[in-house]
Amino acid sequence: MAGRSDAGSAIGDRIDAITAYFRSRPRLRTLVVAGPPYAVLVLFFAIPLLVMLVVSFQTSEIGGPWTLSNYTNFLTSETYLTVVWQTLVISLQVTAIIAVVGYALAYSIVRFSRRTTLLLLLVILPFWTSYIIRMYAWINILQSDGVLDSTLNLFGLPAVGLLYSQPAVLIGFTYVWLPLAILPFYASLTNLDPDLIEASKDLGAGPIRTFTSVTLPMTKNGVITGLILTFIPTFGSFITPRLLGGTNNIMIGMVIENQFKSAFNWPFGAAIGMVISVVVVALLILATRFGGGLFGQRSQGGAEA
Amino acid sequence: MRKFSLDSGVSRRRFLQGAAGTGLAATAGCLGGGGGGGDDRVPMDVTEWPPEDISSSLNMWNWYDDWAEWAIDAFGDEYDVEVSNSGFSSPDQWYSQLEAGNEDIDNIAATTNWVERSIENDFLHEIPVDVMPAWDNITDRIKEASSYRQDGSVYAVPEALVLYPLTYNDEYFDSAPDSWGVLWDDEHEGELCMWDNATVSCQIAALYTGQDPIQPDDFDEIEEVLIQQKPLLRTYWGDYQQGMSLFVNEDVVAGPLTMGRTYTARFSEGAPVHYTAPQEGAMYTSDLFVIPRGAPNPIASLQFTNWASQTENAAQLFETMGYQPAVDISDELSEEDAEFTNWPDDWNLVFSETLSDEVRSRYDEIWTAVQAA
Amino acid sequence: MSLLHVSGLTKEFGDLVAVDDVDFDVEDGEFVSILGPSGSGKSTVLRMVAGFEEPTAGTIALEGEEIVGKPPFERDVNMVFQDLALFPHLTVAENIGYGLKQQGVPKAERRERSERMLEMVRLEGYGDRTPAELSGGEQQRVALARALVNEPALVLFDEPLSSLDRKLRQHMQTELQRIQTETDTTFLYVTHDQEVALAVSDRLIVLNDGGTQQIGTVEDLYEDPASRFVADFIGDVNTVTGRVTDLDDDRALIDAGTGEIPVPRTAIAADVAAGDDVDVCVRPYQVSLRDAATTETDATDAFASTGTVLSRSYQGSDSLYDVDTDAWGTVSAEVREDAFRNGEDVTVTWAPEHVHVYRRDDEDRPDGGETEDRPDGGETEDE
Repeated sequence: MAGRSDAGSAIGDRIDAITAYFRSRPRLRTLVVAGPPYAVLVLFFAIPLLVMLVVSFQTSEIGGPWTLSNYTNFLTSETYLTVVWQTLVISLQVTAIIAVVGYALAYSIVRFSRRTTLLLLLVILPFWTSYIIRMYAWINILQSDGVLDSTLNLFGLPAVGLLYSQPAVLIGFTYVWLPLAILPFYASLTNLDPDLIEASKDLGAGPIRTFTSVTLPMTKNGVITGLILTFIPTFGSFITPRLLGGTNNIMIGMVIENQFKSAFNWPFGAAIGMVISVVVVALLILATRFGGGLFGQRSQGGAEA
Repeated sequence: MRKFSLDSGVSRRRFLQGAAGTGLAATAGCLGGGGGGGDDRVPMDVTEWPPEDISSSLNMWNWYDDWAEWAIDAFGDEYDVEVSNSGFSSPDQWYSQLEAGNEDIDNIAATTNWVERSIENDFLHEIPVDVMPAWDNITDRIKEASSYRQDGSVYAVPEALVLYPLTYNDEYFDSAPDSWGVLWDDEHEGELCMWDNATVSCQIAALYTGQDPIQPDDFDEIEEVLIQQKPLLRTYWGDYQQGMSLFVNEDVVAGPLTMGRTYTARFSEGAPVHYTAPQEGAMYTSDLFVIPRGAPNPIASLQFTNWASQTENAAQLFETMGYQPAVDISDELSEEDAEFTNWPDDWNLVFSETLSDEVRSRYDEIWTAVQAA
Repeated sequence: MSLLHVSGLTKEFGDLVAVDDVDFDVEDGEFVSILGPSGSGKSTVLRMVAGFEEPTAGTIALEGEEIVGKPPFERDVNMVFQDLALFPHLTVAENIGYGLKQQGVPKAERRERSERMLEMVRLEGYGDRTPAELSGGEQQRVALARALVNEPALVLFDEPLSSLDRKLRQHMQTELQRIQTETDTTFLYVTHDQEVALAVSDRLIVLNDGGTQQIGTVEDLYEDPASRFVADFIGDVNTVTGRVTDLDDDRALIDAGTGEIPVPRTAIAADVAAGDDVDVCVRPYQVSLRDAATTETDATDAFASTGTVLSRSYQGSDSLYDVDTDAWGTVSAEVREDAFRNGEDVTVTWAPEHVHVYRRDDEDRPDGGETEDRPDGGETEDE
């Protein structure tokens, strides 16, 4: 017993000594705490991005001579800009659908359900399944004579054969990114003081006015965060449009993928990637200026009562 | 462009096997330092067959998943070698390993143009095909078509012939369509598909317009006919499984599909499909076994290459996945399979030579423009 | 016709009866408080008047019109919430103008009325700030202004002062009264804090366990508590235990350990019977202290016991003594004299007509139990 407690106190002393060592060296302490995350960021984010930037200025092969042609080719090509425009349009459509569907879902979970944990779990559940498998599930549902059409037929309704069309792509995207958007929607809605809703109604505002002038403004940060989380991955997608889309659903992500996987033009792919990243970051900054809480700038927290 | 089968994807079990195999190989390497000295030899050191003292493990990268799974046991049992396989979906996965300095991979199933690249960069061991008994089994057709030589040396052994045929519904069509023009025939509007692959699609268009698919002279025409074709199509399929389902569900009646997928659709899914090479010609390429430099078990890899080219083992490539091995296997096949797989000699097959950078990037631009149109 | 008429109001949450058959009226211009401990159902009553809860049974009429079933935004009442519920994303002026905006009042008029209301609550020039920039007291004023600017028939308060410190709370109480007078509005104020309620209210409704204990003016409740609960809850009270040895229509004989004292029947709760154990309650200001040496205890017509002064504290013009009595333990006495010192022997007495006698419940503080079936007023003699 004595030995054990001695050993215990020895370890305790040692820990105290280490703590004291760091306490007396605040810079070292900062480095130890902040170092690893920064190292990870630099290693897995900054360096690859830098490599991509460098590659994007090279001709056709990595290590080749320097050139701006990858950028000029991309930015002067009507074809590629058309693809970017189509990508933007479909991304905005997806974002709009998710804003409405996701908000309605999050709102009903917060306001009308008791089993919120279960419901949230169900919302997140699809993340345990591979993205591609989920897309195949949708192929099964949407294809002609698939689950959707059979069900419609069962009720005497005509088949719709949605697969390989724009609606199919929208459905696939909505399904895939909805959970990402619902979580911030849900978080902002649970943080919303229900008294504010009552106060609004008490002051004569009906449900719709209350929603537009209290609920929505108060959850704006969560909404914008959720929409950013939807918009960005949609913009870069290539699997969903390839599997669910028809002949007119090309997106810029597919073009980039092709440069790397089949056209073997990595520098060009890198250049497109860089331009798209800049565009997306610009949109991101714009969105946060409208009050998105992505960077924790909650300009208006709840007033202390 | 992984050769998918129905249960495609690297299964977890196989991944673990691979990991365990690698571990074992490492252990064996440490323990058996001088034993047999197999690790220090290169394939060209083998002057008599069979090679002696092959090491007890082999790490291969073969994308014919189902065949590889069968081979792991069959070859492993016969030669008492612990075999592991890493499936892959894109050749750049193994190529980047060779670029980084290979230390693990003994044997790769590599597509022709990647073999060329690897030879140019001196990533491959020369192979003593003259001492390999099974070399004689490789058909002349594929020997002539594939690129595996440089300065008189041989660096690869053909494994499979990969045909890019026109697949069609043989109940819908009374006889095999004799022209790629079937994909531009508005009689079949909405029941046609193309492959979402710039090279494949542009080459089909090139063949259709009577151009050289390797070096066409009128790119605009290719783009034009592909745009013309769009309204007739159900979709561009982007994934082998998806492409096959289109035929199995009879959503489409004609379009490009791989031979293996056509085989699976016909014999596993019972779909009424067959394939043909239209009179304008059909592209084909080959996959070859290579032994990369830095391979820890080069002699076992050589033994494996010879074993895989033995007729009954090569036949398994067809039996398991429907691909045409580089070996003449007609004696091994059932009548039904033989009927399916034996191509008429008069088929006009065009070897899919590596495209020049210019053609490849034009094809890519065209394909993007077509989809965006 | 009363401004607000509540009748038979009942609210059940599952098995729990939160509000049980409550009746009361509020007259135009009155300041009425609903007072009760937490869980008494007072907030539920208020929320039913506001429209946030639907009653299980009963009616609520505002200005003669039944409002049960109407949504909150169609009721001519406005509420000051416990946590104030100011809109953090709006400025002070926008908060105050919120209700007017819903009524379609033009912007200029909204601005003008908001400013007038800010003057009323003495926050001139605060219109452009956000609620987060205000102190707790300032936020209270904004919340009040936001309710008052709509000129509702009735303003409801759900314990809005409970988060303030005592001094600020007392200040806000006087402000509330001033503003109520100036705006001539009717206030219905819910609180558990009897000090606030007594200070500001014209009338009080005491609730306990969902039921009405007593309704009356501050004096009614203080001088003539209808139940042991009210006696205890409103103001300070001394409680000694005793037993009813005899009871007739005029008087009861009560033995509280100092012999049988005759107590008028009117001071005794209706359900008390002969032989019952009872609580005898008396307000500290009804208790007298005398110098033990110079006073003779006459135990036959008054409650009296000798004791020792434990402590003394000044309460303005009075002094509050705690005396350790021989008969009843500690008794508080609020008296004019300040002649007694700690440790001094004294005689504690009070007259039988100043007591209230309730049947003793098993529990220490009888806040359980049924509402007593006794008509209000008249049981005890006034001073």
